[in-house]
Amino acid sequence: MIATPTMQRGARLSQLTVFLYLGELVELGPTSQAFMNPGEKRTLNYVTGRFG
Amino acid sequence: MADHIVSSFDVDLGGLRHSIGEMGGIAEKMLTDATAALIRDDAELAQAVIATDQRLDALQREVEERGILIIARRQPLAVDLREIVSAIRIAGDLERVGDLAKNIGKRVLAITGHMHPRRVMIGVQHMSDLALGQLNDVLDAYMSNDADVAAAVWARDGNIDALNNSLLRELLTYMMEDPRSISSCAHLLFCAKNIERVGDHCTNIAETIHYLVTGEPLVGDRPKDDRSSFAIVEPRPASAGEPEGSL
Repeated sequence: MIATPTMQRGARLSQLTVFLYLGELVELGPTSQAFMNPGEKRTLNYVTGRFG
Repeated sequence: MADHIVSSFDVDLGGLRHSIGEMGGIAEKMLTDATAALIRDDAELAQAVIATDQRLDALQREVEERGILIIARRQPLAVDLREIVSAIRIAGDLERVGDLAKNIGKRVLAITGHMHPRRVMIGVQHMSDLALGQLNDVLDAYMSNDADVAAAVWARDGNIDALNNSLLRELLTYMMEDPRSISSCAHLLFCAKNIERVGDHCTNIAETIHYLVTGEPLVGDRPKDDRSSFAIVEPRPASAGEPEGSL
């Protein structure tokens, strides 16, 4: 398990991704989904560089 | 959707959309003019269509180069990455629509001065109107990010296929009745096929829009009505009393 703010590294190395924001678990799912089609609006906004 | 933290990223993406809009406008005009040139036997207009294709080719290269540059610089993800991949794909489809219109233009020059069966010309015009309607709707769906409008375009393509099939049968009949019409009818056959393929590119674009908006492919069997691959028109049997083998 790795914890990283560097999204490229997370995407390259992991099979499962958890998005934590200010101590809250926002989304947990397959890495492909987290980076290509997130279920949560906040995950989407984070991975596409709209906040954070 | 909210803007990016880096606002120049939004400017980059907006620029891609703008270029696709311009390409769509040019492709629509090329098909409109190519069909008008065919119906009116207008060689000058056909030449103009052929010349316009360069601009469409240049825009497609531009969209590709800018898309690749954005991927390299911004490392887009999720909907942003789909936006760029979609722009590159749609640019490819629109460039092909331009090629098909250009090909109609070339065929107009080849058959200029020949008589064309009037009923066939009405059919070609009708088919072109349908294809232009599909192109217009699918470009609207792209500009408004509307997956439902895109799916409706996708489902409607069968109408164009059916018309192509009936035109093919009609042309085969003309060719059988009057061998002098064969060369111009053969060109008209390809013109109709070109328009039918414009419809296919519209369905490709519709699939891309669905993927862009939802992240999922448009699945299911598209309603098809293209039986032209199996069309055969038998010559009429020789009338009774005529000696066997006579023409």
